Amino acid sequence: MSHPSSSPPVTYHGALRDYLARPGEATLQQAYEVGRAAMSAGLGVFDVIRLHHQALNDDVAARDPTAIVRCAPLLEKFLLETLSPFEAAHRGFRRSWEGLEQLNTALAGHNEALALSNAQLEEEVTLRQRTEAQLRESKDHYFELFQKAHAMEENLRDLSAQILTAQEQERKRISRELHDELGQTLNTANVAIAILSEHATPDVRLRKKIAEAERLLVVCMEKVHAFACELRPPMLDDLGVHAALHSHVVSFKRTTKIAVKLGSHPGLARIDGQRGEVLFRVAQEALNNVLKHAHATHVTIDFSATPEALCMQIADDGRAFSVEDKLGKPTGRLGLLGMQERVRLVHGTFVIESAVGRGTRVTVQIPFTPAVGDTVAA
Amino acid sequence: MPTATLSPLSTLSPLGLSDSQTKIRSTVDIVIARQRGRATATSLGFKEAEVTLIAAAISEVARNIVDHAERGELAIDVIDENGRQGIRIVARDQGPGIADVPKAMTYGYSTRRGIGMGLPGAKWLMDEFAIVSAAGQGTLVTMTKWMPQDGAHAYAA
Repeated sequence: MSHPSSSPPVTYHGALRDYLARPGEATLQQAYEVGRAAMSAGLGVFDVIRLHHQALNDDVAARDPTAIVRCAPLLEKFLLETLSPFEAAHRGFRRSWEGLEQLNTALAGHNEALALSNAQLEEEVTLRQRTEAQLRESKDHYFELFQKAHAMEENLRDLSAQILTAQEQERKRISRELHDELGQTLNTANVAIAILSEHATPDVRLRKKIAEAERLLVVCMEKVHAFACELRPPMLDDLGVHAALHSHVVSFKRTTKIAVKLGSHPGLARIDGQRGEVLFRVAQEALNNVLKHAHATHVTIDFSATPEALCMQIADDGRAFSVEDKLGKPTGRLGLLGMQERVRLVHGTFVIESAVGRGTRVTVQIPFTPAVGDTVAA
Repeated sequence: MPTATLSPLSTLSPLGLSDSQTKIRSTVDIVIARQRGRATATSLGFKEAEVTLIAAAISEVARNIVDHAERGELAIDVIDENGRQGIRIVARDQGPGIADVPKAMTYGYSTRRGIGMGLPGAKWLMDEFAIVSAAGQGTLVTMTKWMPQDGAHAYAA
């Protein structure tokens, strides 16, 4: 108690004595202040009740034991007054506790909602992780497929290279066989017939027959020779690619009446058999195409060189065609693809350009090392 | 509570309940206010225990005036709302006021320490409690205790 207007501190005993002497609001207010003081001092309800009973024993019962019964209503009123601060505190705690309880309930609700949304979130995360894993797997799968496809393509190219090489060797073998064996045999037969005709009877009919056989034999020999040349010009191996090309062009001009201008380059003399063979085959196939599809009147075959490559360009003035159609679709004819594969085999480049009104131009570059003195294009 | 209702605080006009109005300046006035409150509550039919608690609430708000504002007024009135009767106590002063009302109403926050005392103690003892105050504007406390409905507060008898 600190308010300045109060009298010196009153004890429980004193307050009860005052109240019993003059029951009224003033002494009740004093009782209330005693209760406040007790609570401020840290006393509890039990302490106040003990104080009450001590005061009853000391001040009331000691003087007049019957007073306790007579004054019971007054004594109760006094006790209630001293206890009312404790009642206020008690009610305050109860209401605060109720508020806390409501808060806890609300909190539990929030927690539940939070747990639910957490669970949903976790589910979403799991789903996302699963999807990501699947995406990763399918990506790996496609990469594997791509690698397999790539490997298969490589295998195919190797195979086609082997086939081309085997084909060329076989042609060489057959060509040589035709030349050496069949050509020799036919030659011997021709000599035999010549001897036969010298010793023949003057029978005109027989001589005619012998002459006929001789002529047929020569035609056969020429055909065998031409066939062998077409399969594999012996000149390619013996005299080099330019001589072989020259021979081919001469016979092409003779049979097709298409004007062909064949250029030359010193580098041609220095390229190896395999590269020469590629150039020859490409030129042969290009001329074949001109004859079959282009309806051209003039063809030029030119050579040039860069520091790294020998370049052959075959141009005609014929009808153009779609390069994509020829290269992209399986047409059953291996002409263009064959050229491409052969060039690839020697690590060269192969370009076909075809435009309406400008004919077709095939450009092949084959890597080689030019010697000093070779004319090298800028 | 909106601060606009603070304006009535600045006039010292009677609360309009002249019969029940008590000037509060000292402990003696607290006793008078308690007596009036007790009489009004008893006449309304409150049980003795409840009457004691109403007197305790009056003690707290009146002491708040004596301790902090030196003087003020306290009005006790019987009210009737929708057939429900109760006792309403209005305490007003022109003192320094309370700068932070929520803090002042926090349990245990009191210049006179102790839980269940001061304005928070009065709040717990009454059914309704409203306080309007601001620094330099005085304080207005309005609190109500309703007559218990049938059967309620059986233990308080």
